[in-house]
Amino acid sequence: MRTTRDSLGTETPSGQLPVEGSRGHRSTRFTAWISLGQGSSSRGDSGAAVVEMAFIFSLLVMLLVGVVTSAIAFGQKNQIENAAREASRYAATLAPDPVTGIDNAWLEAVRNVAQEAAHGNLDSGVEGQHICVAHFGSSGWQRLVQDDGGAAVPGTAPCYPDGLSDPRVQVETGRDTEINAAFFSFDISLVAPATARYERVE
Amino acid sequence: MRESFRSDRGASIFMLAISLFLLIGASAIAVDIAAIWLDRSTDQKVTDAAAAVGVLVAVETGGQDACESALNYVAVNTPDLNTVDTTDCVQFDKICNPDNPLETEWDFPAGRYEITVVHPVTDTHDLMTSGIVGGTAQPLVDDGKPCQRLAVKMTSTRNSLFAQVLGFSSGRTSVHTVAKRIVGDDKPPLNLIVLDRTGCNTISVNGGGQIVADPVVHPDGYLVGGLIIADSDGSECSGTNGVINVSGLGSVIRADGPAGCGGNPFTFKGFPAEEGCGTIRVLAPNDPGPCTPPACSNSGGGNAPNPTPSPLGSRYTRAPADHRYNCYSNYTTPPLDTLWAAEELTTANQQNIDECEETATRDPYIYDLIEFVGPRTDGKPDSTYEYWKAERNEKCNVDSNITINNQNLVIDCNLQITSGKSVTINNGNVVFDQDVTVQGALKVNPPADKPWTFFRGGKLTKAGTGTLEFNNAMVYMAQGSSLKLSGSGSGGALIWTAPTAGDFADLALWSDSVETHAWSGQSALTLRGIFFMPRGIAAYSGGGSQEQTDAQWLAWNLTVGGGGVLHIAPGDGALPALSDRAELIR
Repeated sequence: MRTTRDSLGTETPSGQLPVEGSRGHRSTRFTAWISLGQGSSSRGDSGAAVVEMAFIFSLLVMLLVGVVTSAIAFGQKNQIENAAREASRYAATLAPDPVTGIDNAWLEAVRNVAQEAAHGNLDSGVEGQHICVAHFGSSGWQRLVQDDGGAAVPGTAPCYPDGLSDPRVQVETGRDTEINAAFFSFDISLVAPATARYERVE
Repeated sequence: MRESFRSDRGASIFMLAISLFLLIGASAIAVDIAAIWLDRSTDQKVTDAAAAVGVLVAVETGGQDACESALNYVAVNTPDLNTVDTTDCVQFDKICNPDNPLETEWDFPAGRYEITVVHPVTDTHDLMTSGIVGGTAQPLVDDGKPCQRLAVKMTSTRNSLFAQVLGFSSGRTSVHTVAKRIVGDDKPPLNLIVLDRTGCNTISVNGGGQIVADPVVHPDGYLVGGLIIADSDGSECSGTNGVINVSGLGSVIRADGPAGCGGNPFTFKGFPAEEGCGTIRVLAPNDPGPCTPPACSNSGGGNAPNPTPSPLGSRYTRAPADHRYNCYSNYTTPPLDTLWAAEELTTANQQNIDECEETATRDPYIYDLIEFVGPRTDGKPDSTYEYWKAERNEKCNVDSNITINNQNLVIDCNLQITSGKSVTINNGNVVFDQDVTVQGALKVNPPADKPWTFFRGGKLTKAGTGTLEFNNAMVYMAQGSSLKLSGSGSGGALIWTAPTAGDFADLALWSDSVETHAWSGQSALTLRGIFFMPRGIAAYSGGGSQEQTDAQWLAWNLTVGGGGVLHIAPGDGALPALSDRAELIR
């Protein structure tokens, strides 16, 4: 999972370069700005100023939009980090069902906490939504993972390898987001893992 | 005009350049600050998880392991850290002494982080007093004791992404978490605990004897493994002696549990179980497994304990019993003059048990009883009592069957019940002042609302073929009292059951005596309840067929020999093993 890191300190899985998400229609818009500048230049020096202004203005727009979307991405990453932390702490102290022990209902309860703590950033409609909850205990690994708003799928593997051996819980939250700089953009995947020791007696 | 126009154009470009510079600079700073705050949020997640696991491991297996576990969780939870070097965790003490907590604080550099682990965390540490952020000191109410706290601090240095052009090369954030160990609400059963704080051979089996901690059927229908705890640090051990000692061919110390550990399988109350699938824990330092001094020793053909003992990171103490029966959770001010009865209770025995809910209104049950009965020199506790000899003219050498109903008694002589004769006391409290020897039968049935029998001194002796019954009774034994309950394969019985309700529910014996409490296998044996001998030597030997018991044993130490097989199986009302939880307090 830990491959490349972008300027937000987030991970881009599978080694993608950020610019792979660039979209063609924004290049078209850039061309339109240039055309406006060229049309003005035929009227003398003042036209040159317009071209310069247009060029600078476009840079400013790119910068402002980039900052705003970066800030949004930072906020989203912060939210899913917080969600992972809240859910892992909740899971660490959540008692097993007295009859069935750690079961899908237990995992589902943790998943719900993660979703609620993310304040909409892990809702079903969010692009690239990912919530994985796993518990390691006397029954080995039990996992529930939900991707892209689909049904939660149970399994018997960890959310990610951690090299630990004690009873513990893993919560991994994730979503996709887009950094937009007006004339180009790229998608990044935000991922927030959290591992906590399981504190209850099974 | 033309000159002026040219001058104005220059000004606007200049202004634009300044504005652009400021805008770009502000954006750069904003992005970098956002990145730093995101780091801070992530770091807080890391320190929370690390401190929580650290404080639990500190209680379980000590400070060094706690440090290692905390750092391992730091590595797992930090995106750009793979490992943290835990070598210096040896700086942390294995055992935290609650009377003299030695605070250790150590820095562990790792990549762009510096991780600091603190254990124990004293009340005056910056992380506890808020001095680190310049705030006013936070109250220490409910913050536990230093040994019950562990702190992790994480300082992160992030190189600026864009703000370097403005001279801001990096930013630093620091977050910390202080976690406190609390008693969880899980109640795993506890079969046996020996409380000798420093001794050797505190659980000793020889001559083919056996101690078996049976599993327990949870009310919800599953099996929970047996648990044996030795609370000695082994400081009195020397040479090859261990806190747990198994010597002699066929001798066994074992804790059984639910199937799955690879032991010999058997069926326990309908559930698949296996030998050695329970837990044996020893406080003494060094790795106790498989059986090495000072934690463990075996010789002369004795088997190593099964399972391999695991470390206990902090003292267990007698606190759970004090808490339940004396509503007593604070040892800093003993509740009353404990007279001749109780040991000095010190903070060394204190556990972080939640305050007794009824502290404001509830009296300490045991100590109230001690005050009520008083020492031997006080005579009768009140006017409802009659002396066995001085007032009732009953024989002290009993040669007939005597039944006394609805009368409280002080037996003020050496009571000897000869073979074939019996004394039965129904619905009355009895205070024994001197020795009691039972060759025939002694049956005591105290009133349901005051279900106790009191030994102010003397030795209670039961002959092999004698019968002794304490039915639904809590037996209190003062300092100087002792027990010797022999058994036989050809008659006699020992029936000793705790009250099922009231102040002393589930408590069969509370002994403040340092004397020996000796038991033997019986042809008929029923033990049910908590047998609490925190200063007493418990001994069990062979003789007669031993039956399954619902008894929990808490003693200073325990020796089993002579082929005796002691199965220990706590009943429903037994004192629970304290489970641990972490609470994040700073």
